[in-house]
Amino acid sequence: MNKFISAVISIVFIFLLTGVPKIFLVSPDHITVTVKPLIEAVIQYISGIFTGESFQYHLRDRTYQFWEEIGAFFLLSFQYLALAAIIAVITGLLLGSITARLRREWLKDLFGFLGTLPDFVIIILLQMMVVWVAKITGVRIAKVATTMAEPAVLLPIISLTIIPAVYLMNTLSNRTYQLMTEDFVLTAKAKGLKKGYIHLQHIFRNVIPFLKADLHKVVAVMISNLFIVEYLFNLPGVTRLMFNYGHQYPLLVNTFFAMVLLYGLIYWGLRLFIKIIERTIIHD
Amino acid sequence: MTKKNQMLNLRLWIGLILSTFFLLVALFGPLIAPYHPDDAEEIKIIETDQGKKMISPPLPPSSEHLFGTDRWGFDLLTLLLYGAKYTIFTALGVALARIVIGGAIGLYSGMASEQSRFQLKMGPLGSIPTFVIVYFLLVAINTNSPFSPLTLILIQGAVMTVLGLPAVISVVSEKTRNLKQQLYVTASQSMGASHSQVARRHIFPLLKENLLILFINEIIAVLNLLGQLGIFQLFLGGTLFKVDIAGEDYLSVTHEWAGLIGQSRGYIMVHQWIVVFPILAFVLAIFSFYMLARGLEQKYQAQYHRPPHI
Repeated sequence: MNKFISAVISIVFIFLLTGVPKIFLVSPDHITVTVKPLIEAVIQYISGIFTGESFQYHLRDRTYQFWEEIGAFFLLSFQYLALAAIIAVITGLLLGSITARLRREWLKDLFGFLGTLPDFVIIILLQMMVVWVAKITGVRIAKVATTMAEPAVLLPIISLTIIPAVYLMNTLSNRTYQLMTEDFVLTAKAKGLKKGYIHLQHIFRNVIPFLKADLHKVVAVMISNLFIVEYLFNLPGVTRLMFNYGHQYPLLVNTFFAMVLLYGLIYWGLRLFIKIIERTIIHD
Repeated sequence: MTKKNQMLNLRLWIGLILSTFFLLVALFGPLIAPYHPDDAEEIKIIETDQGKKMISPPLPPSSEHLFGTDRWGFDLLTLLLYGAKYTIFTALGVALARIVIGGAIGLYSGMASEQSRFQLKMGPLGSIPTFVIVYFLLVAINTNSPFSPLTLILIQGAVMTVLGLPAVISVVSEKTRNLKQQLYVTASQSMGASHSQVARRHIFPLLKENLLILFINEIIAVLNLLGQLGIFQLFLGGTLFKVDIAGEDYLSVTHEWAGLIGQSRGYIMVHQWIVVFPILAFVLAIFSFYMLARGLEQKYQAQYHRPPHI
């Protein structure tokens, strides 16, 4: 029942949020607020579901069918996100357990600071670095933006990976450190078990639940990053449909639902991935 | 007390000094600015050894313009100094409002009995980033707006405060619930202390430290949010949308830092100083607050430290 209510609230929220720009009529000297255009748009959308009009959008006098076009946009976003998510989880787990043992405060400072940097700062600095290297050596390491011919791949993936990876590394490193102070570790040590064995079978297995608990936040951060990355690298992904086609109410609503679906796919995909890691590494 | 505790808390001091510096810049920036934000460099023709040479903005960094000028000839250092107050004080104000309101609600719901406690279940809504919500709420009234910059800042500040509340409330109520289980709290409760007495005498004094660190982290979070909105041309205090022969331009009305980054994010190949200096200012501000948070964390954590077994 709870799930049903939250789903209904989400749908209503998406319908209202995308319609908010419609309720303000802005003129040079004042702003009028009218709810009528929003209600009309919602009614039009719902009646358009049956005629198919709600699944059309327009760009420069041409009409496109949403179902025919969304596939390519969705697939691109999904591929970038899925790849970045898997790399982020692996590096987060590995570096998290390594840095927990190093206990270097300056290392914590460095990665912590990297974690607080906004995504767009990292992206713009990466782009500039590539341009700068190209100017000095004449070697183009990666594409700075997507052109008509081919999309940029390397830099977007790096940008999508850094923030979730650093976030996971920091939190999992703290968790690992905390677990190392627990009494069951002392017991295992007293029994003469090897260090590597204790790390893998006793500490690592107890870190996994924290990773699972943090997964919603990680995926939310990644989706937020996706907007910035696709925008700054000019990638033809899902978020482009929200910003490059003017304010077309049905298109915006559909795209928001596509975003929610993307979120769900990445979240459950990662859950599956973590399950596989658990099954292969930990044994009773 | 170990030797480490007696050592100077370097991070705290760096954070304090840099944060104070940014506060001073925000307060007195316009007084020390070398130019007026409306003074633009015009196209000039100067005599050189090779003959006449035309100089037109954007001018690179020089002794006259330490950070260079933008495409219209405005001095970047001046713009940054004038815009600082909007960025810094909005971040401080929104973070403070989130902590005061969210902290109060969180403390209250953490003290309440298990049934009535605050439940944070975002469901599918968690997949919509905060900046996207702010963007759709404000995009219509923020571009070429009839409202004054101050009105727009207050509206945007209120929206950002409300959207940040759930996170603060859940952290504070969680922490309160943890502290409530401490022995001295149950002892004082069994001796007849009321809810408000427990909250005031036992919970809040310990929560204070967490709230301070949370406050600074919220400042960083608000700066992040402002920056993301800036990338999508929703500038704090209003966006000016202009179409001229050079193309479409989105300009920041207030010259706040996220706006300066957002309006010039295209300068990656050429004239990089136009975007580099605003980014440096922005990153340094985040760095100083980060150092402050880290310094405080270390100061408090030294009290509860347990060494690892392996």
